[in-house]
Formats: sequence, structure tokens, C-alpha cells
Amino acid sequence: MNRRSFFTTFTTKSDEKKVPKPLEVTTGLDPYSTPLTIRTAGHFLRRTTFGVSYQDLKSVVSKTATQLFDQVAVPMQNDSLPNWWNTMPDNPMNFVLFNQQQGELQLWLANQMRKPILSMQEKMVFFLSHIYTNDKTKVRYAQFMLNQNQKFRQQCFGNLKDLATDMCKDSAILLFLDGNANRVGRPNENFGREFFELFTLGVGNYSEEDIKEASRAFTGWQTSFTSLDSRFITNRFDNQPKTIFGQTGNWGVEDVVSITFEQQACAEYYVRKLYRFFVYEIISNFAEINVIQPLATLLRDSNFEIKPVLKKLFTSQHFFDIEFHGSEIKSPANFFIGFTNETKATNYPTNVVVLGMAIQSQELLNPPTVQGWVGYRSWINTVTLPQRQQVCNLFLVNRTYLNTQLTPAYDWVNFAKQFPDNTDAKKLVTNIVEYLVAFDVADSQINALVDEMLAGLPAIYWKIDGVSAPAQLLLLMKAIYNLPEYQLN
Amino acid sequence: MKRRNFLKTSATAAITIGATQSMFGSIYQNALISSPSMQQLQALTEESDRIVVLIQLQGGNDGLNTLVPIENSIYYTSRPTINIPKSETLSLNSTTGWHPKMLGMKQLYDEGTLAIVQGVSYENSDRSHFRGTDIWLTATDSDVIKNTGWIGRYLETLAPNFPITLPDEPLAVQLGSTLSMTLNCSGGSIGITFRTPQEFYNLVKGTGSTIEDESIPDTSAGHELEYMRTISKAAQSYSVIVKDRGEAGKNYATYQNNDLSNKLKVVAQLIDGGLKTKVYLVAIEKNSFDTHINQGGITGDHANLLEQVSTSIKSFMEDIAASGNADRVVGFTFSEFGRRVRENGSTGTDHGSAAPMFVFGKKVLGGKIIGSDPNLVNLDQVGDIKMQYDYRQVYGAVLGQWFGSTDTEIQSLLFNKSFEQLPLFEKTISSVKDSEFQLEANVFPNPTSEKVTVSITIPHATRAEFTLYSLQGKAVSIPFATELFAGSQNVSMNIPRLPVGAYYLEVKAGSYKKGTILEIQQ
Repeated sequence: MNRRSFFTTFTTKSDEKKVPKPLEVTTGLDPYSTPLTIRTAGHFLRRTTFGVSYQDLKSVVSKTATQLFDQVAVPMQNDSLPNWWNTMPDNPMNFVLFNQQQGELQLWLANQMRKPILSMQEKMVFFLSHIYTNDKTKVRYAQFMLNQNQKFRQQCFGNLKDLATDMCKDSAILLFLDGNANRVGRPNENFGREFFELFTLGVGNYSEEDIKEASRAFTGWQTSFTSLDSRFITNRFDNQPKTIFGQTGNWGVEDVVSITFEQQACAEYYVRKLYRFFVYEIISNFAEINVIQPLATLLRDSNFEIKPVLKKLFTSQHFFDIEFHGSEIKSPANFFIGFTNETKATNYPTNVVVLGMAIQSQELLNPPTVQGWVGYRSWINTVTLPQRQQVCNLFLVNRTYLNTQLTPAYDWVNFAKQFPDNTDAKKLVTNIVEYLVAFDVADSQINALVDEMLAGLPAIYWKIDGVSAPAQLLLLMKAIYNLPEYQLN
Repeated sequence: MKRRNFLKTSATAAITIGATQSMFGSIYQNALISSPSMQQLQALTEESDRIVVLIQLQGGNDGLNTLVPIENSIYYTSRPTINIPKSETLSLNSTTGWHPKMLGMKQLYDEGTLAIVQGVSYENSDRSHFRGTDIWLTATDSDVIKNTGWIGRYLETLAPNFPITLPDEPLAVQLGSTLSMTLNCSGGSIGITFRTPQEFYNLVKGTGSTIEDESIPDTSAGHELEYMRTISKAAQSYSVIVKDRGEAGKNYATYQNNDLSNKLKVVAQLIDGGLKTKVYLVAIEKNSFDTHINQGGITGDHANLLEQVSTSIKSFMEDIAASGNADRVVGFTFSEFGRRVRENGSTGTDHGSAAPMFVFGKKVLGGKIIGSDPNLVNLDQVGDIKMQYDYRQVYGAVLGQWFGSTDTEIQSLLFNKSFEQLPLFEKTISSVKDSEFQLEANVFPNPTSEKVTVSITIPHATRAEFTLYSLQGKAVSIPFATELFAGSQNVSMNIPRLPVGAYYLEVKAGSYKKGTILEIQQ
């Protein structure tokens, strides 16, 4: 392990123009065996959940990465489904009902993501919904959207190939990507193209001819508007030979999936997706060789079972490398669910979470394009950054947001008392920052935050049970929430 | 080209001339040099007081149903259910008709303020929305991946210290709540985004970090943190100026109530208010133009989108003409690809390749079509229209003819590739090099009340324009234009009736400008 793994160095602003520095990671997939700390367990849980309380974080400190992975890589108990989950609306033009049920589904999904349970299930479900994107306004039927989402839940620790096969026949996908319109003699390439480009291989790994031929093989599957499952209608299937990646036969869905998953690019595509979602947007040459390629091999060798790959990645030295602490820009989901989970503000209204995410361009079930959310730096712009800060400021003063009264006044003294050494102003601030900011900040910044909390008074004036403490903690929290650092995960 | 420096120097020099020849006190003069309005004035009188508006049609606009090949039977047989019958089109020329919902753009074309470029794409056109869009935004070849945009790279040349030093006003504005990749430069996004000036102001007020310590960890987090701080500073410093400019600006035309119109309306308002933004980006988002299914013909989804594009651009053009800004604003539409000639099985069209672009503005060489009608016989192997022009031939024209970048500069902005510019804008850039062209101008008397004489020396015969600006940068006189001969001459002109005070008189000969403070007295 190199020196960088132990120390973070800081630079202060210089007048010279900053150029992105090359990633300096040299850690690979060897197991990370150091017992976890607030810092490293926090990193793990920030990436694998939507944020956990300080109590939950403390409960896993000193475990090994493997132990923690085994603890969180398990299905969790979800709320019971909305009661309409398998009752198809009989009027295809009843948009009032469609909208109402889609809205209920968004709330249901957000509630699952907000569950204060140490499970990475919902983060994985969310990840899969970034691959198999969808659009509630085009699909209309919330039943289909939920049904698709449940398939993510079934396969989130399961098999990517099985999931791909399911998706080719999925009612919501058939509606979204015009699969219903794709019939023998009347091909529609919308699904065929996205299947290769977004669902399995990525740009550059197939030809236009492959798209045309695969689209023919995908024919026959049609949404039934009376049941969740689609049906195969034989006379809409193109019952002639097709040639895909040089292989000719009278292919159907299973065949296309098999042939596609044999392509070298397929496992690499999924592993890169995983890496960019869970580790860092930028894949260095070192990571490509020492992380992506070995994991792709592992994925192939495990016949596209995803769990061994997750385990290898999330228990590796590479994942825990200090280089990646805080390198993720919080998505609106990470942000909204994060700050409410950190404070255990379970009564923060879920409709505000859903709407707030939508305003920040991450409306559940409604990504901007079939490509899904671009993520990374696109989350932060001159609208969304002040918006997030405003959301926190309103939360702090318990005002209304989006016409909804926010959670009743939060007990910040109680929050502060969770932390060790809370009678010492600087130690308290250090500990809170260690929990809420994803990487170590410079000592000078800690001092500035202490000053902010005490409005410039000497540190001896800090009394956690004093009458000023609630107001002082509000100042501290406002300062932390308004730090750009807080938007990193 | 160091146009910025050149003008800065010339404006300062001109003030010195004014001071020696007039009662202009040195105190007043120094105050002017350092005052914000003087800096703004210098910025405004640059070539780059010009503005371009990019209109992105996300999803891949179907060119053939936009400009209909009314005499081409292949079009009609390829599209049995979604074709636009000849009799329904609006007349363009003998072989092409406008989609019936595009009356506004037809009118612009007919009055000579809109040009059409047929068959725009690039070699090995990519039919992925994702890649296709990135290619257009970054201005790369189809197999080259870059993470800076062509607009971002251009604007960075005007603000070389970005993001350490932010320009006084935002160089690029995207209307909406996202920031496009095209605005990325090496220092992060050089653009800002908001929906309306007031909303932007209200949002930013009361937010932002109070911690001044800006330590940066030496890790990837530090790399991302720098980006975040840039955005934070831009929001804090621009929300006020954008609100002020918004309040100072007005709309002079009526718009329909739809997404694109609402965005262009704000753009026109900010331009009128004097915001020094050079590039505005507006988009019809969510891949709306991705008409795989039930595209429609003379009515329907695609028709509605075209109507939105056409009416909003028409209203915008009326607006900026009425506010006196038509001379400095142009715009164009773009989309990641066109659509396939043959309709698909679901009364829609699949992803295609080459498609037309529309370029509009008073200074556009309009009323013409560049390129020939789409060839529907000689298609590429997928069945798509072949390209006639590379999209960077349009970008090059914007950079060269409109913004005045040199060929070398354009080449470096386009990753050392060279593209022949299409003739799209009234060319005001002289081919003479800076060093060969000296424009000497003295103004007297100064102060003056009725008449002013400019003594001017130029090396080549050219046309010159004289314009008076307020110190806020707004033109207060109609340009006085005359032909000059090579050598020295005196040009006299009457001063229009204006309130007493200081003004800025600009002389423009070819692409070169000189300015001086002119004091008008009783």
C-alpha cells in the first residue's frame, strides 16, 4: 500500500490554471483486509446505500470489508405493493388514473430507497434501472413499470443474462421502445438498437446490420393489456433465418441474448457500468487493466452471475483507495435520501423527496432520454447546486418546501450527542465532518467551521447543554450543508 | 487573434486623443477607464458583441418531412402513411415544400433572413442518440471522444483564466435546468443555466458557502470539488447581474406558450437588457424528435414540434428586430441525425443520417438553400441520405464569419481539422492582417453640440460606419455610413438630439474599430 493510502495531502488555491491530475491509483483487486473505520465503512455504505445514520455506521466499524459485504448484499423486506399492482386499468385513455398510479409508484419506490436498513438491494435496483431505462409517460401503465422494477429486485444479486432475456419480453420495455410495433415485415429498430447500445454491449460493438437482423429476431413479443406478462404471437414473429454477429439461424429472443452475451464486449460493458456507478466516473488505464478486465473475466466465468463480481469489487483495495473517498458527485437521490437518512428524519415527507429529485432532473421512472441519467457533473449546475443548499436551509429552519410543511423541528443537540467528545467544540466538529463529508478536510477548514458554529467566540464557550447550543449547531449544520464538499459522496 | 487586446488598447488610446484635444479632464478620464461601464463598453464594441443562439432539436429531426421533396416519387412510395402531400406544403421552390406548420420560418426565408443547409452530417454518421449528440456537441469525428464542447473551447479563448477568474458576465447561458456538454471547457462548464432571471436570483439568494478556506484534497474528490466551486461561484456572482439585465430588458413580440417559445422569450429579454452573454443554448428536450412511432404527417407529433420550432423562431426574430438587436444576433438549429427515408412498420421513422440545418438572423445570407435536394436513390448502405456537408462547415462559419476567429484559431478549436466554411453570414471580417491595417482617427471638436468631424486615415478604400453609444453600451444613433478612400480624409456628421453627457463614438472600417469618448454639450 502506498503512502497516499494513509495521508491526504492538500493544496490551496493557486493562480495557475488547474489541469485535471491523472489518477494515481495503483491498488487492484487484492482484498482490503484492514478493519473498517468510520471513514472506510462510511465510504462503503455511502456507495452501496442511499445513506445511513451515524448509529448504523458505528455498528459496522471494525468489521472487515467481507463481513460488511455479506451483511449488506442481501435482499430486504419491502413494503407491500400498491393494491393495484396487478389490476390493469381497462380504459387505455384514462390518463387521470395512469398519472395517479404512477405518482403512487414513485412514492412507493422512494420509500423503499429511504428504508433505514443496511441492505444494498435498492441501490442495486436503482443501478439496474439506469441500464434498463424506461419512461412512465410513454408506458402509461404503472403496473408495467412496477412489474419491470420487481424484476430488478429479483435479479439484483442474480443473473444479468436472465435479466436481459426477461427485459426483451418485458411489457414496459415493449411499450417504451416500440417492441409492440416491431412485427414480421414491419420491423421497428428502436429496441434492437438500444438492446446492443445501452443494454448489453455499448457503442462500437455491433453493426447496423446486426441491429436490423436482431430486430427481426425480437418480433412476436407483444404487450397484453389485460395481464402483466407479454405474449408471444406466432404470426407476428419473423420466422426466417437471421444473421447476427456472423451466426445464422432462425433466431428468437433467447438466441439473440446468448449470442450477444458471447461477445467479448458484453461483460466488459456491464463491469464498466458498475464501476462508473459505484466507484468513479473516470476509468484510468490502470483500472481498466487491473480492475475492469479481471472483473469482466470473473463475470463471464460465473456465467453472468453478478454477486461474485460485486463481492470482489466491494472488498478490494481498489474500491477502498483513498483516491475515491468522496469522488462521486451525489445524484439527487443520494442527496435527498442521504441527508434525511443521516439525520434519521424519517418524517421528512417522501413527496418532497420525489418532487425535489424531479426538480433536480432525476424524476423516478422518467429519465431524460433512453440513455438514462447522464449523472456525474451534469448533476451540478448553477440551478441545482443552490437548489440543494436551499433544500437543506429550509430543512434546518423547518419551513415549507414545495408547498409541504417539512419535518417538525429537528433536535440538533440530540444529533450532536451521538458523537464522541461532543463537549469539545473542535473534536465535535471534526467528528461530524468525518461523518457527513466523504473525505478528510484540511484542519484549517475544521477551524473555520468551529468559528462558524461559535460565531467567532473562543472554543471554551461551547457547552453542548448550554442554551446557545441549538442555535450554534444550526449555524454549524448550515455551514456544512452549504459546503460544495457536502455534494460529494 | 488578439482582438480583445487590440480593442482594449485602441479604446484607451482613443481616450487619450480625446483628452488632449478637448476639455476632457484627466480625472474624469481615469474614472471612465476603470469604471465597469467603460469595461462593458469595450467588451461591447468588440467584434464579439455578437450573439449566437443554438437551438437543439433532441431526438433526431426528420428532415424529409420538414423540407418535403414534393417532386420525388421515391419519397412518396417510401412513406405511404406519413408523407406530406405536395398540395399541403408551403411553397419553397420547384422541388421542395415546407411542412405546412412552418409558415413562420418560410416567411423568414422569403424575406431573406433564413438560410437552409441541406444534407448536413459527418463521415460515418453514428445512429446512436447518445454518441450522435456528443459528436455534434463536442465537434469531433465520429470515432473521437472528447469531453469539452466546441462552444466551451471557443469561449475559453475569451476568458483564458477561467475558472480562476470568472468573466464579469456569463459567456454562455442555457435556458432550462441542465448544462450541455457543448459548454464544457478545460476548466469545467463555462455556461450557466436557469429558467428565468428572477427564479435564478431567488434560488441563489441565501445559499452558498461562507467558509473561505479553499483547501483541496489531492485526490479525485479534489478534482470534483474544484468543479463544484466553480459552479458555486458562477451561481453566486451571476444571479444578480442576470436579474438586473432581465429587469432592464423587455419583449417586443408575442410568443406562443410552449417550451421553446418560453425559452427564446427569455433570451430576447436578456439580449435587450444588455447581458453580455455570447452564446445561448435552448433545446427541445427529452428526445422529442425521436419519432419511431405515430410520427404523423401534416398533423400529429412531428407537425406540432415543427410548429413550435417555426413559430418560436419567428417571434424571436420579430422581438430582437424591434429591440434593435437584429444586427448582432444569429441562430441555428441542429439535431443529432435525420431519419431514415423509408418509414418503419409503426407509422414512424427510424434513426437516419444527413438532414437540413436552418440558420437565421438579419445578418445571415438568407433566402437561399446551400446544397442540392436530398438524393433518395443513392443512399448509404443502411438506407439513409448521404451527407453533402460536414456540420463543422457550419460551426466554422459561425466562428469565422460571425465571431471573427481566424482560420488557424478555428482549426485549433476543431482539433486541428480544417473545414471549408459555408457562406452563411455577411462577411465583415477583412482578409487584411492586423499589422497591415492601421486605422487612425481623431475627433473634433470635443465636446461638441451639433457637428463633429472625424479625421481618419486608412490604408485601403473601404466602407466605414460611425455609431454613437451610450456609456451603458446601447446604440443611440443610427449608424452613419460612408465610403472612404485610402489615405487621410475628414468626415463630418451631425450629432442627433441627445441628452447632454458623455457618449462613445465608434468608427468601424471593415472589421476594424476605433472608439472615443465624445462629450455632448448644450
